[in-house]
Amino acid sequence: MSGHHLALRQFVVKVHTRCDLACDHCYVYEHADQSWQQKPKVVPPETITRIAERIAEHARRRSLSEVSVILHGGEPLLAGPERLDEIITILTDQINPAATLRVKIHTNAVLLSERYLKVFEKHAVQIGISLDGDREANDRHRRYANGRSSYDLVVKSIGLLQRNNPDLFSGILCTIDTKNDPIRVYESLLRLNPPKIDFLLPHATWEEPPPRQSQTDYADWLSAIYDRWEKDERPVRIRLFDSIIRTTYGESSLSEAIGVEPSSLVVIDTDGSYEQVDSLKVAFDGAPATGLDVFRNTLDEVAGHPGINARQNGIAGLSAECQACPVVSSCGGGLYPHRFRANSFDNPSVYCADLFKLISHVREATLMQAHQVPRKTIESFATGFGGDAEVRSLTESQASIRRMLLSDIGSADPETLRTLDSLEELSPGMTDTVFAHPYVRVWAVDCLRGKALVGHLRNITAAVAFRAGARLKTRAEVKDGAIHLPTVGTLVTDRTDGSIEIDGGQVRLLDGDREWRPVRTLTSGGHTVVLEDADPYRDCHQWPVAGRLSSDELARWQESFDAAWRLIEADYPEYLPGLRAGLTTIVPLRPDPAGGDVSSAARHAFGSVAAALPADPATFALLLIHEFQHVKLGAILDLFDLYDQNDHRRFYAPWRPDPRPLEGLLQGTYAHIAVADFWRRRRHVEPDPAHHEFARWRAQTAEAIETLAGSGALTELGADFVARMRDTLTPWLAEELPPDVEKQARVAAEAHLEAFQSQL
Amino acid sequence: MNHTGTEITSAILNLHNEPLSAVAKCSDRELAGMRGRIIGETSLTVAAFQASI
Repeated sequence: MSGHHLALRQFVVKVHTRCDLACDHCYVYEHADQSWQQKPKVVPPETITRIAERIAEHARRRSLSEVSVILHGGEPLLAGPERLDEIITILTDQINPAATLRVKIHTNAVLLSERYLKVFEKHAVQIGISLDGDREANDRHRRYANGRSSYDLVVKSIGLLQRNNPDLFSGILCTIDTKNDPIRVYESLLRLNPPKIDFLLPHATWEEPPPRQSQTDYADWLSAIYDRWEKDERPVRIRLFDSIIRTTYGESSLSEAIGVEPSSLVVIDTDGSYEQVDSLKVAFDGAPATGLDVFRNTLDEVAGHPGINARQNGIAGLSAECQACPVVSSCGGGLYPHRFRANSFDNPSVYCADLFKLISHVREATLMQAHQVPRKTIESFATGFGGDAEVRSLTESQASIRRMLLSDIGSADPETLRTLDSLEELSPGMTDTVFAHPYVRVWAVDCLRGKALVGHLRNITAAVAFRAGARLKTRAEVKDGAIHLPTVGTLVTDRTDGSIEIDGGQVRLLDGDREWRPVRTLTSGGHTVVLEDADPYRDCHQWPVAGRLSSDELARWQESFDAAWRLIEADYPEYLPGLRAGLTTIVPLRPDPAGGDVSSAARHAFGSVAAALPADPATFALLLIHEFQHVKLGAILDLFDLYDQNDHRRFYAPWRPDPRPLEGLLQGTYAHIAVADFWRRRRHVEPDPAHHEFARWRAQTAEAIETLAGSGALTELGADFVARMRDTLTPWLAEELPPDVEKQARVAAEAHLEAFQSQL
Repeated sequence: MNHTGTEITSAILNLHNEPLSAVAKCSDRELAGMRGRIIGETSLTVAAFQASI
C-alpha cells in the first residue's frame, strides 16, 4: 500500500506517559481509552532511535522537504531536560539529513525552568503551553491530584519564557468551560502576551455529550470573544477564528478542529506503537490503535491505514448531513473524535449546533468572499476541454488575482493607486481590461519578488487613462529605450526621463523625440489577439522571444494565424469556444536553430501563447490547442490544490528523457490529451504521420495518467480531475490503428522506458 | 480547497467590486494566503494537530 497515500508530515511523539497534573478534562487519562497504563513511562533510547529512523525513511521515500515532531505526553517535561536533550538530538541527527525537522513541545509548563529552556534553545524547539484562563478558570480543571492549583507555576513559567526565549513561545491552548466568563478568560490570556491562542472544545462524543445549558453554549461563549477580538483589531492570532476566516475565503484551516484538510498526522507512543490521532481516546477503549509499530512497520504502511485514510477524504468523507450543510467548507464536520456515535464516526459533530452558529456569526462579520466555481466547470476542464463559460470563470478569478497583485504594489505608490481608483470610477472596467494583459501579472509577480521595478505601475495607469480618454501626466518607466503602455503601444525614446502626457487617446513625451508604435493584432473568424512583440516583461518563456516584427513578418503571422484558426473552426470546434474566451495574446519567439517547432505558455501569463512562426497552419493549430491547455490548467491550479506541492518526488514522463515533478507531469499529461485528440482527428486528412502520432501520444498520455493516479500525491479534487482525464482517453485506446503502427509505438515506448531506467 | 456538492470554494478572493486602495488596506489581514499562493511557493496544507500550538 506504500506510495498510494498522502505522505505523513506531523509526528506526535509521546515521550512520557504520566502527568504531574490531574486535569479532569484530559483525554489521555479521563476518557474511555486506558492504554496509557500499559506503556513505558518514558520513551526508551532504542525506541526513539527507531522512531527517528522511520521518520527519516519516510521523508526520503516521499521526498519531503520538511517534517515536524511534536513532543507530547502525558507531560513531556517529566522526561527531564537531559533525556529530552538526548531525544531531540537523536531525532535531529537522524531526520535532518533527510528533511528539515521542526520540533515543538506541548506542556503544562509547571516544571519549565532555565535548564529546560537551554535545551529548547539549543534545538530551536517551539513551546506551546496549556492554560485555561485566569486563576479561577484554570483551577476549575487544571489542578494537581491533591487539588492544589497549577496557575501560579504556569504563569511564572510563561514569564520566564517571555524573558529568556520569547521567540520559542508558540502560544497558549485553552480548553473551554462555559462556566468561565469568556471575556475574563480572553483578557487574562491576552495579558500574558502570547503570539497565538487557541480555544479547544472539551472532548466529548454523542455517547458522552459535553456539559451544556443550551444547544449553543459554546458558540455563544466563543462569539463573545470573537466580537471583542474584532473590536480590539485582532491583537493576537486566535487559531480557531483565523481558521474560520481563512476557510471562508477558501484557504486552509490551521487546525484539525475544523476544515477539510487531509490529516497527515500519526501519534507514536512510548512503546513505539503507531496510533491515529490520540484524541480518539475519548471514543472507546483502543480507538486510536493501528496494530502497527516502528519496529515492524514503515510509515508508508501507516499512511495506508484505513483509520488514517478516513480523515483524508475531504467533504466526501463526511456524513450526508454534513455534506449538505452550507458551512461545511469551514466546519469540515469538526474534530473527528467528536463525531462518534453508536460505533460510527459517520455523523456530524456533537458540537454541530455550536459550530454552525459560530461559523455563521464569523462569516456575517467578514466582508469578502472567495470565487466559487461550479463543480461541473472543473469536471468540464478535467475532460480536456472547457468552453466559453468555463474559461470565463477562470478569467474572472484571474482578474481578482491581478487586482490583489496591483493593489499590493500600489501600497508603495499610493498616489498612483488613487489615480487608478479615479480612472476606475470614470471608466468602469477599464482598469481590468488593461490589467488583463498577460504580462501585467508577469511584471507584478516579478515586482513583488523584488525582480522588477514598481515604476511600471505608472505605465499601466497611463494605459488605463489612454483607453479611458482621460488626461494624465505621469513619469513612466523607461525600459530598454522605450515606454511600454500595456494593451496600447510603445513610445520609443532615447531619453531616460519618461515624463509623458496622456490626453484624448494620445500619448506625448514631454521632452524629447519619440516614435509611437501602437499595439498590433492578428484576426481571424471575428477573433482578435494581440501580437505582442514589444512588452518588456514578455521574455518569461522557456525560449527567447523575437524582437519587433517587420511588416512582412507581421503579414506572414496574420496569414498563418488565419489559416490555423480556420482549421480549428473546421476540424476542432470543441476547442474553439475556450480559445475565443481566453486566448488574448500571441508572443513571437525566435525560431529554433535546429529547425524544430518552438512554443510555450507561462504560468503567470494567463491568456498568452508564445511560439516561433510555425511551418504550416496545422502545426500552428496544434500548438495553439496544446499551449492553451497549459494556460487553462495553470489558472485552475491558481484556484485549487490538485496535488501536494510539498511532495518533491519526480516521476517518469514517457515523452521526456528526465523525470518530472508532479506539476510538470500533470501539465504535460493534460496538454497531451489535446495533442492525442488532434492527431486522432487528423488521421483522416493526413494519415501519415497522424496514425503514428496518435498511437504515440495516446499511449504516452495513458501511461502518464496512471502514474498520476497512483502517485499518492493527488488531493481529492486532483484524483477526481485525473480520473476524468482518463475517461476522455480510455475510448481512444480502443480505436483501431494499422498493426505496424501500434507495434512501432509500443517498441518506441519500451525503448524510451529502457533508456530512462538505464540512467537511474 | 473546500467545496460543497455543486460549487467549489477556490483559494482566490473575489475582488471585483473592491476599489484598489481598499484592497491594499486589507491585504495584510485577508489576502496574505492568496498572495502567498500566487507569489510564493505553496504547499498542500494538512490538518494541524489540535493539541499543540
